[in-house]
Amino acid sequence: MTTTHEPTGPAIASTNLRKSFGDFEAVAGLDLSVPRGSFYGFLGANGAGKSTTIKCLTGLMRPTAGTFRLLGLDPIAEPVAVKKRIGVVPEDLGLFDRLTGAETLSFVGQVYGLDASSLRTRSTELLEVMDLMRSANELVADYSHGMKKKMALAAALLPAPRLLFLDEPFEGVDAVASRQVKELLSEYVRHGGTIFLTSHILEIVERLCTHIGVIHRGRLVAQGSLAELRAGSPGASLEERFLELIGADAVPMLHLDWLGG
Amino acid sequence: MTGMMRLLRAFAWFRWRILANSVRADRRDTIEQLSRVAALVMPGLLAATSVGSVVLAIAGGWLAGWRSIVDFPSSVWILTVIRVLLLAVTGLMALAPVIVGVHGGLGRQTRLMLLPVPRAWLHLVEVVTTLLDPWAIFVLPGLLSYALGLAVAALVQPEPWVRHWALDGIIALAAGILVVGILASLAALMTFLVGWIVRDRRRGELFVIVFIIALGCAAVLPAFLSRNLGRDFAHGRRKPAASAMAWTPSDWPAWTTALPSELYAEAVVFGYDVPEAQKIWPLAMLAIEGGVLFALSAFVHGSIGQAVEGTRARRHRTMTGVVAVRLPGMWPGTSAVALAQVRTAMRSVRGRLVVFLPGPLVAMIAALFGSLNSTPGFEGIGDARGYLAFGGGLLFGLYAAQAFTMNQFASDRAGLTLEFLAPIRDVDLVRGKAVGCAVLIGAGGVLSFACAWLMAPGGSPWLWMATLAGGAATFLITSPLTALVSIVFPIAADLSKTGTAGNPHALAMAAGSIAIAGCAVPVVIALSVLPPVTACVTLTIWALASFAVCLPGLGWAAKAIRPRRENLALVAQGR
Repeated sequence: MTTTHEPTGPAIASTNLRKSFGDFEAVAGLDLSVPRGSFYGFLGANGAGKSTTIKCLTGLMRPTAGTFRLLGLDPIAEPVAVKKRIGVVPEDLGLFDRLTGAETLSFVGQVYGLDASSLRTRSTELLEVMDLMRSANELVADYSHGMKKKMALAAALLPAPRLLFLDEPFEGVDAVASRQVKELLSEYVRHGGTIFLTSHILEIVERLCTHIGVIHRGRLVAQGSLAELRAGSPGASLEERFLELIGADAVPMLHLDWLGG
Repeated sequence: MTGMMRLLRAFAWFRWRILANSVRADRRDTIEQLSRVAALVMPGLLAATSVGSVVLAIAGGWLAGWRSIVDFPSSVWILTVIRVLLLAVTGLMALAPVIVGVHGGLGRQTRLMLLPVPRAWLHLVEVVTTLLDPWAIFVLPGLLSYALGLAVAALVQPEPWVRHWALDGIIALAAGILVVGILASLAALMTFLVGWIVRDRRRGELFVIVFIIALGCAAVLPAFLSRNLGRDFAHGRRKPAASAMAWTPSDWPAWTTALPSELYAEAVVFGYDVPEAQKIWPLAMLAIEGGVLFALSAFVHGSIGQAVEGTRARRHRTMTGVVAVRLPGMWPGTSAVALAQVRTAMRSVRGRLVVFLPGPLVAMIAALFGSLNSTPGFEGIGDARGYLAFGGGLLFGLYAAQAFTMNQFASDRAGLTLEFLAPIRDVDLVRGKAVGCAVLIGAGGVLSFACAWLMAPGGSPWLWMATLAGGAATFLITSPLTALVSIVFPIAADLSKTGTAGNPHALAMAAGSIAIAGCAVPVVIALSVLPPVTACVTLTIWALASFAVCLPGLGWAAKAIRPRRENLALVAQGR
């Protein structure tokens, strides 16, 4: 996606971003700063507010308070301009069950204004990379969970966005596809793209991400480069540091002797 | 036996917990809790009423049996009533599982197959539980008590030759038990068969579509047949049945004598000149039918157990390339939304019914109108029947499409998330949805036109065009309303279901129905009152005016999306 006057500034910048559901505050004043060209891992336990944050940033939910900018643009004032520059793999994957994989890419290509030739070339390459070529004319409803994940990623990448939001992209994806996706995403970042990713698989985050943000009960408890985060506990793995940051107590180890019997 | 009792106890506890938990929703508001309590109380009230009905059926059966002995001539009409009831129950027990399956109510097979229970037990339990259907509960106990009434009444009579009829009572009891077995096996067989068919998504959807279209056409048949029968009687070609004693009218097909109700009647009929030996044949036939149906039901039940989630291999098709199809004269985003709407609709049961159901119905209605032509007072209908049927098809299409038009944002599920993430304006989204609905209804309209023209090509071409213009105007003028109502009253819907699971919100449906009916009234008046050319010109102007209202109306409706966006996305995801 080329533009003549690309605004400057961080890829994502939010100030006091909040989202409440009645009395429950799912996101409680996030001040995110995601540098352009970074691979940002957004970590948190179940229910910490990761998906809600992504929904607020991508316009699927209206924040209760706070301001934010994506790629230097205000998504509230210029929603269409922002959407043209971002790609999203949402929590529900955002796929029509009753379109085929090829039709899904055709839909995305058309709404993003791709010409027919670019649409054909990019779609073919993405389907090849995702190993979905043989299933391109099947309905998405007939795909396995992993195939749906890859199709959602292909749809998000098709318009060549400058900022990519990925909500748990590796969950349910097999080892072979996971490796392909990891290589693809690394390549994307090398070419200047920015990724904002949530994942529970800390090994993958540790291997791929350059920057980390940790959310706990709706609040950002740490943010910075991977090196900065590790500096807090020298020698600790990301998992240990993460558990330390969110204050997770060690789970008492029960014996469950009856399991063997 | 202990295992079976444990199983029954587990099922009873499971069912009770589900009911109890359904009202234990602390976060729900008072109205919803009341609604849930009402839903819980209603089955209890129904069960209490059912007990009374069963007692009445048993008492009625006993009295009927008793009366048949003490007042022999009345035994003829009593047996006729029993035959008719049995025939109706047979039909209901065979048809009910199909209707339940079509509405998507057969989803428990997977869960049951996972239980650590022998398959034969599961099969037997499922066969027996079919007897809990209301129609079976009301009729079958009466059938058994009728036999007991016959036997006891015969035994207590002073005349020795009447006491001999007690044996007929015992034969009637045996026949009744066999009929109960047949009906239970038949209902179970149909349940398993439909369950097997709908287990495969494609096969199930095809079955539902064929069934609904056949049912729709069958609904017109009685009117059609009654006219033909009436004509036959009037011309002396057919005579009424000679007497109620005739078991089967002579012009019924021979296979009807093998129906359980007929075999039962043959086995039960008694009198001075009916020897008991003659009843062995119908009893044997009942036993054979029951055995065959039970074996078939066991076979199909076993087949379901072989592969619970379907056996069809995934079809890999050759990749034909990703092509950008754009509807002419439209912005790409609007066109893409419209095409997605049409494609997803055409791959759902509801969408296919919008396109394919009006045509056959129109053909049937046109044929029915044709048969009315000779009726005094309807002479002019011959010329008008073509475009009248066409108009009926268009109107039917508008109503059938309500699953889409009145729920435009909540039937795409996660697809709506993709549309919300896409860089398109809300107004383009609304326009795309409207165009998609128009294409869908238009496709059904084309088929309706073809069917009406083939069946009844007469009438003024101006009136045909006027009908088309009237249909278009009705759709256009209601479009902003349907968009707005879809935004305000979204409901997660499964368009592969023909029951309530696929319906729009009740308020949206009511608003849509009223709006369609209201907007169709001027069209009907114009077609009925105005001369052909004037009607055509008037309705064309009306269609153009509707289009002029529709465009800004859709823009106005689109403004309602922004504040409702979050809610729409949540509802579409089924939350």
